[in-house]
Amino acid sequence: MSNMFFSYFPGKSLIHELDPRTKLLALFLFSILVFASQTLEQFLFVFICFLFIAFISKTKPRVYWYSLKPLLVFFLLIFIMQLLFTDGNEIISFINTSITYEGLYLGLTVISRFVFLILFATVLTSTTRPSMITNGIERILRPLPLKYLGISSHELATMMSLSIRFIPELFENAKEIKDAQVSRGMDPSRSFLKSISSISIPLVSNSLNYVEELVIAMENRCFQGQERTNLYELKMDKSDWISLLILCSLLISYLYFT
Amino acid sequence: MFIQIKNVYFQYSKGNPVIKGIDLEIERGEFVAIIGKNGCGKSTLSKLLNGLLIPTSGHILIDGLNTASPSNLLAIRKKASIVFQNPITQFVRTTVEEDIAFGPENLNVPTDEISQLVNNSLEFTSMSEFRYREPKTLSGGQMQRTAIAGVMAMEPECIIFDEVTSMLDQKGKCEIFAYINKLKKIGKTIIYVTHRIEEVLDADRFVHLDNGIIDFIGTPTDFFKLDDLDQMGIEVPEIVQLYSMLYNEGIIKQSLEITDISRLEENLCQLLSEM
Repeated sequence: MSNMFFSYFPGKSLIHELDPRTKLLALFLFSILVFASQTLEQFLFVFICFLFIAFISKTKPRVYWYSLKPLLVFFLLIFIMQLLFTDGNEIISFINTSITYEGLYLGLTVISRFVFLILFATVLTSTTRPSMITNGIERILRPLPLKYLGISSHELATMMSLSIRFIPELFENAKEIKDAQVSRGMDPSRSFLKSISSISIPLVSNSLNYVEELVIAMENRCFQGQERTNLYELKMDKSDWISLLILCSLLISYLYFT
Repeated sequence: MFIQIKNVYFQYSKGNPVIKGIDLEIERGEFVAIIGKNGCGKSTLSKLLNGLLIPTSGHILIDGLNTASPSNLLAIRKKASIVFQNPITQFVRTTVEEDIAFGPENLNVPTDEISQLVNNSLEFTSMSEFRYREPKTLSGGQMQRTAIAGVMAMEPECIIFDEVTSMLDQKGKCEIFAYINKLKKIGKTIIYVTHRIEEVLDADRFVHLDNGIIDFIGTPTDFFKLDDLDQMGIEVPEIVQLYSMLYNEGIIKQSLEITDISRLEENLCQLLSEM
């Protein structure tokens, strides 16, 4: 199930059809909306926005759960911190600290902020193929004068798509190494630190070999790192511009009225 | 001559020379098998052929272009492309179709032509139904077929297979051989690097490499007539052994071409039944 985290789920919906650039910009605008929200009433509005988007994207609820689940501990930790270390009107008091209404409120709003950011990002990743996301980022970055930094938007896009391609491979390799070491008598539960070194050293050396073979394979297929064309040319449709227009006006009026 | 290798030496930055003076010419449309033990320099030679490695001395011309000149490299790699041993590390993108498009994209082929090339390559390798699949969901044979399709999409005249079957099961191997035969039929030059001789009996020529030196160039039939195959560390396929024993003992008088194991089997059976 861990590989469901921020995965793409093929489907047919308005959101699936949109240009990745529209979706990336929309994610950016929604992030502003989330960060501008302070009160629980405002988050209720954000939640309604999310429900609407989630509804038209036809993504199954469990997809959002897959994205949130690995981060639950992190949320809980933040919530407890806010709960314990905020001054204000007491609800219950402990030996040294006290839980306050303000703490409860702040904890809820801070968590809502993280949860909504992740939920909106999940809408993007579940409806857009990873390669299309990198494609979109490349097109957004293309007008920037990156060449003065000695890099091109195409190289950045290639780096991104390679990481997306090879991070799961890295996990797989780590698992294989762990199995190999366990079968030769390593006991991760007894000496945790030692097992980290006996997994990470072969992992690094394997990765370096891997990268070398990959680079040769890329060179073999004429990779130059400069300008390159793409199997899918991105095109902004009418629906893209309309969605962006609606979003922008929504955000501006929201910021104006709150 | 499509490929000309003239007195080539090569050594990696540290260490002994790997290739020690090789001369070889390969014609268009030829099927050449480069055979030899592990570590004899086969893989190095294949990488030298499209400029992934540059000879320390001597030179290699691909269709008249010298691999030592950096400005030729793109044109050379478009003419001669390698399919590598490891199916996973040569899979650059996240789906089959994107991986096949990687080469043409790098060559700045316009978008609609890329999709045409991708479709053709998918069809050629019968991978159309796997178009949107991710590499981890494919079998080894399917991954190698994707690699062949990825190379095909660049429309090279020559395809170099560098031990492509060593990580595959029997089914995967058969799949790959079927497509190599198909490539041969449409007139591609094929260079097949391997240490398993039984895989390449239908090659036009054998090039045997030993410790960085070519010690045999000729047809498979001539190769099996060599006396010192044992000392060369060659494992002769059983059926070929049987045939040479029968021939040497004078039981069979007719000399057969060794191009195809199944045909050799048939011919042997027929000869033996006539006796």
